[in-house]
Amino acid sequence: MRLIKDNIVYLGVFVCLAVASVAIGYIFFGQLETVHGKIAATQIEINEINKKVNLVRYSQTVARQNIDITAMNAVFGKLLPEKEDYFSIISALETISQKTQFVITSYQINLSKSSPKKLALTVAGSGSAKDFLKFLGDYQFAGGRLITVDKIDFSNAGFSEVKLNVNFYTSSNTLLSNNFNTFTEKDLNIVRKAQEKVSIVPAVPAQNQPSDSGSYDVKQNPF
Amino acid sequence: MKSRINLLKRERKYQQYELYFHYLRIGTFVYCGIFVVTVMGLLFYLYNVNNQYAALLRQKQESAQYLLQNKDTEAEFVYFGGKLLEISKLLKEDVNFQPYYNLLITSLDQASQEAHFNSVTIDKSKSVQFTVSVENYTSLLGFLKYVETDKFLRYFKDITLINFDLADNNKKYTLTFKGKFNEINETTY
Repeated sequence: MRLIKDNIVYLGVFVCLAVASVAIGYIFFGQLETVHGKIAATQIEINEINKKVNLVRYSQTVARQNIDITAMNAVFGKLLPEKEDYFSIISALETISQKTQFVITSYQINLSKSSPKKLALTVAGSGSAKDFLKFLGDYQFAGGRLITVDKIDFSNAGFSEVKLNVNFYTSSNTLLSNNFNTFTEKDLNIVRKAQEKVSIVPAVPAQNQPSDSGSYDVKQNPF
Repeated sequence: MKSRINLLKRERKYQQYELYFHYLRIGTFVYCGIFVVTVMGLLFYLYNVNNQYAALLRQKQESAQYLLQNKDTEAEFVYFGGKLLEISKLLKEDVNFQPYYNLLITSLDQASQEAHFNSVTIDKSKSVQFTVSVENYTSLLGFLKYVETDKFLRYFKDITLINFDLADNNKKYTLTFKGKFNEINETTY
């Protein structure tokens, strides 16, 4: 009894330390788990944000290569519209005809080869071999709509009327993924070629538009 | 009944307990020391982890701020990139005639001045069939020798002479080849 009495302080301290060890361990590991969880979640968020930041920085690298992204968006929107616009198809064929002197005489929708995102046409045209070659160099972008051709027969001898299967496309509004790295040189060459071939008529600013209000007096009270 | 105390036995037990309590005292001091050091270590570790979390939050805030300032640029570029990759994919469905035609004409010109290109068919898989005519036998031999060289063959995955015609009283030779082009280097698109 006397021994216990003499060592009661040590005994108490030992027990207190043991209880405190368990409590501190429990609190510490709980805290640590919470902070580690927050760190992991924040790291994922940062990675996602950084992918977007990298896209912005890469866009500046692309812009430094004389590529006007705002203007090109207008060009791409014209080349690949969201919805099919038959007028723009007719206009594209007319424009290519004018630019290349290869006269498109008729066109016919090829339903069997068309799909919701692709309109296939059989186009007939005439012109000299030189005009046709010019057409073949320009058709992809020069009309203002993206055109692809499946197969081309070209003959120097006896060149007259040509029939081509051409395709027009609409876009599925695909956006660039965050995991995207860089464009290939081929992709950038497509941009340069489209930039060179497609012209976008700038919208007339409102201040330059003719105003009707100057020609007529506006009467507030008709009586 | 009279109780008796065995002092000898008691003394031994007492010494044993005293030893236990001696160990307890030492153990308590050691435990106390380890406890203080461990708690300080854990607090330091927790402090570092919290600092790391705070640094990540700052980094996130800075990146988010940068993104917020450039949100229009990002939106434009995401649209631009999406369209460009889509166009690039669609153009793989195109025959892309002119570069391959130019390649063929240039290489045929190098073969012989007397070899005349007649016609060509190219499809989107870059399969090609072309016809060439040659005016005389000597030119024919020269032309055939050229088309067997690596200088000409490097443009094709495979190429075969599928037809050979003799016309104009055996004066004009017409040769038809069929094969597949190698993809033109993307930078020369």
